[in-house]
Amino acid sequence: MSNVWIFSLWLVVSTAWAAEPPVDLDRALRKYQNVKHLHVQFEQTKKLKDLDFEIHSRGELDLAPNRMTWRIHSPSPLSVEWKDGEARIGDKASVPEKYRSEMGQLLSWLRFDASALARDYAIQRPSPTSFTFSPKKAGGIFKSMQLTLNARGFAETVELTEVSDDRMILKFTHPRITYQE
Amino acid sequence: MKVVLAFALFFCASPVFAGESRWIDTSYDSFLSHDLRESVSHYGEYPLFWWNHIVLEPSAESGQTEVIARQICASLSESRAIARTPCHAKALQLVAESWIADTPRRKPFPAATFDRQWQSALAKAALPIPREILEWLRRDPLNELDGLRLRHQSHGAGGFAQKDGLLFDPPTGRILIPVQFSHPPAESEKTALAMKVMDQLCLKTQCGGLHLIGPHAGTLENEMRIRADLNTVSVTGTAGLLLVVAFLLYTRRARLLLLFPLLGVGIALAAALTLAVFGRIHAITLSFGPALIGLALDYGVHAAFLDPKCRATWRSNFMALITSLVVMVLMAFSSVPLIRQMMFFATTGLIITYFLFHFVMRRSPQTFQLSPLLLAPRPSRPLGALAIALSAATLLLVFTPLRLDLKQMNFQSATTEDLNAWWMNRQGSETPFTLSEEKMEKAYAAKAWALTYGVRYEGPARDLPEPKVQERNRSTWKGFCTGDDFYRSELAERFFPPFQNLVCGERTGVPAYLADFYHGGRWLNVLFAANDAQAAAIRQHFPEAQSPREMIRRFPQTFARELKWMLPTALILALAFLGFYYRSLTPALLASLPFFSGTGLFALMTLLLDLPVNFISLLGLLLVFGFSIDYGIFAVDHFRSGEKEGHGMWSALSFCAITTMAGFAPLAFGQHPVLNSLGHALLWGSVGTAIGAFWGIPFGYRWVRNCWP
Repeated sequence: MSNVWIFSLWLVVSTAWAAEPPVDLDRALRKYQNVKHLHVQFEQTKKLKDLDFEIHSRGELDLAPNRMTWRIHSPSPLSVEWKDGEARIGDKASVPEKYRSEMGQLLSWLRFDASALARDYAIQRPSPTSFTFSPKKAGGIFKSMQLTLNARGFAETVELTEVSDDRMILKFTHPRITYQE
Repeated sequence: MKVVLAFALFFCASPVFAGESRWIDTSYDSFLSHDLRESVSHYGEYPLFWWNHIVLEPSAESGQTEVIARQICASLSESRAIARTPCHAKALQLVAESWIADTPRRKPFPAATFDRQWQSALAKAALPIPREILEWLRRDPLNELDGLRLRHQSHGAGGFAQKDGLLFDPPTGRILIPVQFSHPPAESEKTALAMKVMDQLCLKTQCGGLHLIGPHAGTLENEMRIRADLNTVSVTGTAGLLLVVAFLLYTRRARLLLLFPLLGVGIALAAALTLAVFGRIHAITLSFGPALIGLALDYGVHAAFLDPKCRATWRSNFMALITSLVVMVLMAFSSVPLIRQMMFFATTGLIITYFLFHFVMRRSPQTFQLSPLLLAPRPSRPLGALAIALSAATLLLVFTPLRLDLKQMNFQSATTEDLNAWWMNRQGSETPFTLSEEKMEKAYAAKAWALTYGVRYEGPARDLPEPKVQERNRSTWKGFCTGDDFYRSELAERFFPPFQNLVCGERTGVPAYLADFYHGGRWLNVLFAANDAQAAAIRQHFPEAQSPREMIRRFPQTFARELKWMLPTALILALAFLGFYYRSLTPALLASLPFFSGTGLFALMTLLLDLPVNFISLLGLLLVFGFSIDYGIFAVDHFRSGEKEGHGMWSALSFCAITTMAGFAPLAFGQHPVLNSLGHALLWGSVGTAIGAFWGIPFGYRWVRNCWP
């Protein structure tokens, strides 16, 4: 009988664990809670493993509840807008389905929503200021993601490793956040 | 018996129906006169006409239909039977690569903007995108694929909404997946396999229902229907044949079966002669021709039950042969190649078989001689009067509309009919006109003309400029391809070699993106007339241009024109021969009475059962003409001989009539319009013929004798 109780208790607790983010992640990402608008500049290096080639770019990221804009200034101006589930690259009305879903994966991740991240990713904390995320479901573009926070609690670098072992390293600077009242 | 034999041969021929064969012709070209043939061949040969559409019915779960459609697209891109589908990048790879590779033919080198475009592609590559899309950016930094995408969107969308290669119909919730098969429509075995895969995919993805519409779907549906019908016919036919054999064995008249090897020799020799004259023999000739040659069995059965040595019997047979040949020889002058070939095959076969029977049966009469069955029809005034009334009913055919269009030979299930109507409704009313040209210059001329007149043009000239412009454009790419210092950077050497390899590589043959318009050294150009004025302008400027709608309209016109003189001439000639044979018009009319009563019953049944009178019904009536006049001659000759009982003649006639009716009746239950029309014409024709021969002629003969003793 006691086994049944323990098992039931474990079920309840494990379900709660699955839904709730670990307390430390929740706390670490508190700067990103109740965000109304987030603006941040970035510098990105994309390392294409088999080509031994790097693509350097810089730009800015704009985040609002139903909209997200990824704007590249260099090597050439280009913006990707994600609004109400529709993606737009440059002046194109829509982008292919597959592209849309891959972009969506990253952009929703960049909201740094602790609950959503806990739901979709297995999370590890290799150091006090960094977290590693592995997708719970296979089939996405990313194999793993690593987030490093700065002393003020803002995301400093994000390193994404794609399934193809290509890597994207994003360095964020000058965050500007307004919060919901 | 004849029909069983005919279909036995059809089955022998059917394996080659699906594919090309050295001897067997399966094309639709043979239905058409010379002037129509070339244009019709476009429809089978040019891959442009190998496009079909998978129609996905909406799933119960909202939004799920598109997900299922994408899954099906992904699976189809792996199928060998599918050459292309715009809803999956992999299936379009060859086309896309050839499109990029031909950039230097289409455009001059964009020296002023090149660096900017190059960097823009790099910026896109910097985005978090799947590797396969990144690889496309390496191949297409100038974004040429956008042009190809637009080209695909403008082709075949009609009134549907397009998204990523799928067509959406919001009112019905249906989604269409355009698919191009890698084989022509005639190779239905491959289509059947692909359909099986699609059905399995539908089952696996729990789709709301899946149908295929288009040329491949239509061909397959027709063939499946014919096969299903023939399976039924062959079972009942074989049962009938076994019954006849059992009857002959039981009544010790099995020697009648000896006629069949002789008939087989006649058919084989006719086939060999047809091959020698025409080069190939059409499968439809092989299907219906033996039934026409099978008419010769009437002569053999007639001689066997009377006296194989008797000159009078063979005189009747010869006259029966002549009257059958009159129609066939006349129809051999048709402008429709298939009818010419079929009539040649039937005429030669009938003559050969007749003389084989004549030679062999007269040489060894004892081998074939049969005792009569002691059969004779009981005189019946009502049945006699019925035969005369049925003959008068032939006039009904004059008021029955002849449906000679090619659609009459096409089977469509109710679902296909609905889907096709829906599709046509959404597609709009543009009339396509096709032009097949050997030289590209004519394609450029057609494009220029279309541009002037505001007519939509599709063809090779749409995407490729004239040769001198191509040459000029290509010359501007030389610096880039030979590796000028300006383009020799780490970026060019590490990231963009796939683009350089494509645009600077050697190209031979027809580019994949133009393959739809190319076949056997000829280019296909399509002009779309949006209204009657444009159609008239196209016809005036390009008299050789053909539209499918016009071809469908012209076939019945040609055939109807021929029938107008052929049928009356055949009838008058047959009556003239009979008049000459009997030296009097009255017996000649009496001998033709079974034909009229047979045709009359058929005419009556078309009214009662609302049956169409079409090309195939007329072929059936030709067969009826062949055997009904034979019966008439045999019966009239018997009365004129003064012989009282005539058991031998009536035995022969009964045997022939019963086997003919039993053989043809199952065809009338076929669902394919060809078999159904043939079955009805032959069934009612043979029943009416029997009434005319068994009761009409004795009644008429007595009436004539009483009036003019």
